[in-house]
Amino acid sequence: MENLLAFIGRNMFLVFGLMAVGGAVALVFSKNAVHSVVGFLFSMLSVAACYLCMSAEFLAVAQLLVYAGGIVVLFLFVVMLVEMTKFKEKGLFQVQTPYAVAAVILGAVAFIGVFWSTWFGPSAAVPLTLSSPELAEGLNVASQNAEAVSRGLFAGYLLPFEILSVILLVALVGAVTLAKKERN
Amino acid sequence: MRSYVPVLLLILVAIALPVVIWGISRIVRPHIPSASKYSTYECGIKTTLEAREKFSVRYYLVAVMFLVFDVETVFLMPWAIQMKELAIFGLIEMGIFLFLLLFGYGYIWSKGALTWE
Repeated sequence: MENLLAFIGRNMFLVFGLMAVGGAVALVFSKNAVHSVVGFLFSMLSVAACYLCMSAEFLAVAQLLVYAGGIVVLFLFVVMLVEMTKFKEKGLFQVQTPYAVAAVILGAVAFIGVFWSTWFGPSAAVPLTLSSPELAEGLNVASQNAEAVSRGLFAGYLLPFEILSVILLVALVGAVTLAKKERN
Repeated sequence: MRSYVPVLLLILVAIALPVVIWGISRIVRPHIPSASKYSTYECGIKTTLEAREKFSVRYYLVAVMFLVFDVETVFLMPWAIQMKELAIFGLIEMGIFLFLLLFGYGYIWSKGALTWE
């Protein structure tokens, strides 16, 4: 019993990872679309816990705020937009099956590649290091990961950061164009 | 990870509480089912429509707008904790970032997406 508890304590990432996979399976296989969203929420919370296990607190909180707080609600609204009274869910959600299968195969191949290189390739980089060592100067990266994210963002990834604001702008304009009727 | 043990305990209590309450009420309560007990309760009025109606697309629009500014707030955080070190450089970068999103805010405002008609 104690050995088991110690094993679980050492492998929390595995526990939460399996929980995330369980949530994802519930998301795919539940008949009711709202149950799917609950499975998605569970999965996202587990992924946040996975980030915590890797002591990436900033990312975990961001995951909770954006995915568990925002995107789940967005998914719920999308489910509500679909007229459920006519029980056409099955036909409605399965029009893209061939594309979905192709996407899943592609994703699976990519993941297998990552796992393969992790297990059989050369030993992976130490987690939580910045791209260039001089950035980490005077910083305990393991415990100050929000500062590490900040330095990485403003030094190494400045252009992606600015492009991000353009992408957010596109999302905003796109949503308004799609959903808002012109006033006469 | 050890410092998160209180959080784990809190989660366990939160899960246990409804299970315990539900279990006790299941043991204690009398079980006399009838057709009217299983019907949909709507403040004593007879139900007229299905609950699973089509919702207005406005809710979706509000959710997208919330999400965009939510992500913006998440990216304000790394800047805020390193504000002194980044100094004027960080201010300019953040200014560009915020200006683009402020532009978007102005756009949705001018399109009337913030008003609920």
